[in-house]
Amino acid sequence: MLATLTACSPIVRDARFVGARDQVADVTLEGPFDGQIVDATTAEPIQGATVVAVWSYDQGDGLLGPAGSESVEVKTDQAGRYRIPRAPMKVRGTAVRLVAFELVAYKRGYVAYRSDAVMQGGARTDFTLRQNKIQLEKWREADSHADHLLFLAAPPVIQQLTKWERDQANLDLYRAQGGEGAGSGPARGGDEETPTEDTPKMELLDARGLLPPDEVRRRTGYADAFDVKDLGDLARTHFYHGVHLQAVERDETFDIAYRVWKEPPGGLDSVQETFEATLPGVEATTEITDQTWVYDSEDVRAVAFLDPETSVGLLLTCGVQQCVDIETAIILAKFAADHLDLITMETASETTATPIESAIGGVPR
Amino acid sequence: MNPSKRSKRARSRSWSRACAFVLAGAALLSTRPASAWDPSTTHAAMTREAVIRSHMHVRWMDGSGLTRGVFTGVRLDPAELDPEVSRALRVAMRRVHEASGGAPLGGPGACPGPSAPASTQARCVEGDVWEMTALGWIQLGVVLETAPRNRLLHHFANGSDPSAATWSDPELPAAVLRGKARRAEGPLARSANRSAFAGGATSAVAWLADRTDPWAPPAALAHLQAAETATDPRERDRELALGLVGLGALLHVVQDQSVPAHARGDLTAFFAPLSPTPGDRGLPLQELVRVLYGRNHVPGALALSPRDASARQRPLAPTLHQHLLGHGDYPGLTRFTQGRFLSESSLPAPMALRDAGLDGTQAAAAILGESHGLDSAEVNGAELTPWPASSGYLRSSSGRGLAAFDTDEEGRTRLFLDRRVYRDQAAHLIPAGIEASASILDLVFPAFPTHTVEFDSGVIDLDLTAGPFAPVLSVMTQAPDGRRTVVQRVKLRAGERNHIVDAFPAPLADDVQLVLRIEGSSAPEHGLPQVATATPHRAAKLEAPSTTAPRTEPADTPTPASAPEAPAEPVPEEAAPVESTRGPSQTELISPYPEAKSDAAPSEKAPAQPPAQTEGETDTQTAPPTDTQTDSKSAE
Repeated sequence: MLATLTACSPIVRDARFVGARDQVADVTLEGPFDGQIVDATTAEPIQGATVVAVWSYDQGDGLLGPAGSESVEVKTDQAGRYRIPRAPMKVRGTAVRLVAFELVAYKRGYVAYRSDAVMQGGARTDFTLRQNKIQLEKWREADSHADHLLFLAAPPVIQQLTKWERDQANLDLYRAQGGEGAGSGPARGGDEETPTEDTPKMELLDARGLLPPDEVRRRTGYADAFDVKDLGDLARTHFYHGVHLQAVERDETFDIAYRVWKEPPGGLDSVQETFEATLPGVEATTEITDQTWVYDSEDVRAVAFLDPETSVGLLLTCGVQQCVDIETAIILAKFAADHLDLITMETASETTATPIESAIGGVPR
Repeated sequence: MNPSKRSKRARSRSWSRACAFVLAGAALLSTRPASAWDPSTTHAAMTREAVIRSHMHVRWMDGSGLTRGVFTGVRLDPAELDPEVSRALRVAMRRVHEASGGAPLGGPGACPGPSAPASTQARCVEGDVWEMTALGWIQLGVVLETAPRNRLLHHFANGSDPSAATWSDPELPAAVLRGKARRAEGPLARSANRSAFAGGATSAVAWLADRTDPWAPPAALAHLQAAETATDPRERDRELALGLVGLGALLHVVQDQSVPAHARGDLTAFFAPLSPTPGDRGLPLQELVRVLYGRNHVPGALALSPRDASARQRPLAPTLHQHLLGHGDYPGLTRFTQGRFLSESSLPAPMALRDAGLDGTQAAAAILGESHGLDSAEVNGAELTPWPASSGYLRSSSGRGLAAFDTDEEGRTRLFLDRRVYRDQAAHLIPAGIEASASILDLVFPAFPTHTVEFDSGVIDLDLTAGPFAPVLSVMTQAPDGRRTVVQRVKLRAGERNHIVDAFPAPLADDVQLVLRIEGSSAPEHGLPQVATATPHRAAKLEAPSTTAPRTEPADTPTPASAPEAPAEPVPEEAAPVESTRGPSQTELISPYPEAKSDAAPSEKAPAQPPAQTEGETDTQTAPPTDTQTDSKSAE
């Protein structure tokens, strides 16, 4: 009997999180879990936040597939604390695996929390089994309900609590995708989103100083004007800025564009993956930094590099009329690499960026 | 591992592969394990990305007067479903991971009654109804393709002919495969769901046209069509939910074509050991990607040309089949994956090469042989590098790693797939899968053609120069309670501008909404049935203009001049036939799959239509505007 029960017990995959900060603790997907939720700005405990713990199972030998979840829902106490018991482990059968644990925390007026990811993109790396500290950021005017719901992929209980965001999320995504019928101004819902003096302003990366038009002209010999714009396909964030030097009254083979990531939440690995996906078949070289990719095609020349010292990744693309050879593109990229200290931050109110897509990930989505 | 033991094991090709699997499994175990192209993470992320990158949301919003998008809640009452459909949905809902975005609110038992504690109402919607966002229903469809597990069998392509209707894995005898398939689901479940497996199955390409599967594209598209025409809003919700689930199933099948083992008909690859635990087997690539990327982070490519970033308008191909098999410059996802990437069990056999005096290129050609199935672009110029060496990589002429190699105890050079090759595969194939998925969404949900509506006179001008083929316009009115009535169904002329007079009884009452729906086909032959909807608003009531243009036209699509103010001469019905069907019969779908009507067919459950509107019984005429009037006169 015992042998049968044991045989039917799920295989438990290793956890991706640690036991606790600054101390040795056993770690397992099964739990138990505990922690505290505080306001990221005031450090005050947040009482009454909904915390949902979800254990997810797979099943199958070879052809694997989901086998359901178990979940536990609790509310934080006056001190903002939560306790989640061990996994019920009632999902049994042959070839069942406990493959994931996610903790989702939600309180209206704040950006929600997931133990496996951050809303700005990439994997979360600070979740701990015990004494987990969750700092909820207050909702900001510039935050997107669409990004929020996409990030949340909410379990049902949280879906119930976030229903009110759906209409606004539709409009946010519609605007972000360039929809024309919703007007240009923000249309916010929910009292807690009304910006106040305390509402933190969104900081955005500013990479326009990295490669000024004059420096480009000096190196390419181009005599005419550029319009300096934001690249519209990805949202500008505090870690990403795409700059488009659009040649005035010329076709795009005279354009230059560069994308800059600085200290992205997912780290430079995620930027590297984007480079490798964007520049297929290109091997890394040491042309500019130890991780430099050079790509030359009939239509466009591209140079990308990662600079671990400053935690910056840059992808420069240059039309073949502007960069007559790949060396010109490399020279421009080198100039940018030598001036990474010119990357600055500015507040959202100072910008006119109009993203077409949002960038949840540490790399563009 | 004991060298002598290894030597014994390395005597057969199959054992070499097994070793490669073990190595791959060991590599996986050495990574931080956890979160998995697995439905809950990778497929979920690819589907989300495809929805965001497609124009589906914008077109839905434009077509609904900004009232419906991918976050809109869609309800489904299990009591109204066919028992088989209901059962399949319940199974999928039981299996879906709650934190992956595909678990619905509500359902039977979710609303225990007003006297029950509030805490028990946390999932209650209304009665036994399920509710989820449109995106959530698509995500549920992705999971439905794994339940029962034998549904995964139609996710494979024929390894030697991707257009073939069936596939089989020739590496192992059918009896072994049957046993593996049985173990994949468990004998009881297999007996219950009758998932007999004879060593091969319907291919993904053939499944696209499967008229017997209630979740295959023919049924799913029929649901999506009915979701616009059904009279009752509740019924439209039901059809939409079912259509979206089918769409999720389609995206799962399509995205699986970006897995080399799927595209090469390599079922054997799915049985690599993932841990020392007996029965813990799976596809190493799938597990590695799950571990590396999780749900929120999959690799994506960027546009290299800055002005191309917002220009992704036209689908990659005009049919579903061509999305897998190619169209024009687009190679097709299945052909691309099959011709560019090796899977675990389709690796060439080990070969003694080091002492043959070959250079790297010759050695690569020797070990690849003739049956690799790769495109010549990958094979020509491929080399083993470094060479001669005991280990390294088989690289294509572009430098991409096709496989790793090492040397077995018998001194033979042996190919296998390692973590680096898997990462490279993922970096290329996941974006390709997302791109194909987004394109299919754009194909299924086309932009409504540029149009103008004269509310005072009942005139509609439609520019169909950009499609679709075989267009039929349904003019509907929507009452304040959401009930729709078809006023007219009009066959239109494809490829030109159409001018329809007396399209609806003008003027409409203030609280009546005009709804236009165009059905058509994405190609002249074997095209995908398409439906686009618009809800033109009178300018005084909404800021949105009454003329709704597609956001961006393809570069080679001319923008038509504005429609003439006065109706052109009527075209005789022989030249531009008009269906003057009204009343209940109007909801009968013009389905490209008429014989596909099954129990799940949407229109069969449609409640009776209200009495026909007599105002609609005016003569309806179509006529081209001035620029095509000559033709119409000729027709006269």
